[in-house]
Amino acid sequence: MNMPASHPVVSIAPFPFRLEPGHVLAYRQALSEQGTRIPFAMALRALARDEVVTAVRRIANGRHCIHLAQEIEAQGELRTGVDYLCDVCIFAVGEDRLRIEQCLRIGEQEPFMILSSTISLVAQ
Amino acid sequence: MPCLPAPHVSGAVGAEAVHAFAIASLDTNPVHYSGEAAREAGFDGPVLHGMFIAAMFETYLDQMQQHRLTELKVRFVTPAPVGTALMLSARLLGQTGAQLHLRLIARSQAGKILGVAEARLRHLSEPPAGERHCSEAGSRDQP
Repeated sequence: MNMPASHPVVSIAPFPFRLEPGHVLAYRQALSEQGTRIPFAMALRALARDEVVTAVRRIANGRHCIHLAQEIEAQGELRTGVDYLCDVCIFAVGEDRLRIEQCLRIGEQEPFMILSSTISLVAQ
Repeated sequence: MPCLPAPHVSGAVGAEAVHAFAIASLDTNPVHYSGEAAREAGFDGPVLHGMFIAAMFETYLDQMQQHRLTELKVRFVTPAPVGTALMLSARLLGQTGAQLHLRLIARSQAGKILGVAEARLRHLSEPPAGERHCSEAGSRDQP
């Protein structure tokens, strides 16, 4: 993972993240595609956690968040019914850009999936 | 040359699909469904979730069932208005042992590039030599 040189503005304590079959079904239906595996993109559901949303809103300070880029590295496939632990760090990259680094683990194991979201903050 | 997925065109991604994706992804950013919010953010109207395109790339790669996706890097190049149909294509950038390096492109039907991705996939098991090739029709890309 390419970590920005700056220190994180916010570091969220690890929290549990779990996917259920119903989540995957709804996701596939929304895409209108069958697929054979759970999209890595579903890991971004973890960013809906209250602490993450609150932190992003505070930094955005009324500006719109626009997703510019996404990087995902995975050691395996996402599975339903697995209790992942999710770490999130939010970095300010300049005045109008955020980088949200997210890491999923299973228990104490090495990172299972690392995600990095680049977000532009656009004034209204 | 490994078998790459043939170019794929989705149906038009309308407001109903965007709403369903917002619920399924838990990404309820109003720029995806509110004209006012979208215009405040500098768009002409509501735009598709970037992660909708990323997820479509992933689903597109599911056709390569002998490979496991290990890395995906996506840039959302141009905002895609709600109602856009996505044209997906893949091109081989390189192959090292069991690992493939692909470039994926999502275009609008007008040909505008909406998203570009680089994907790395690993072959699940080394296939027999005779199965490592396929017709060129499955590996074409429009540069």
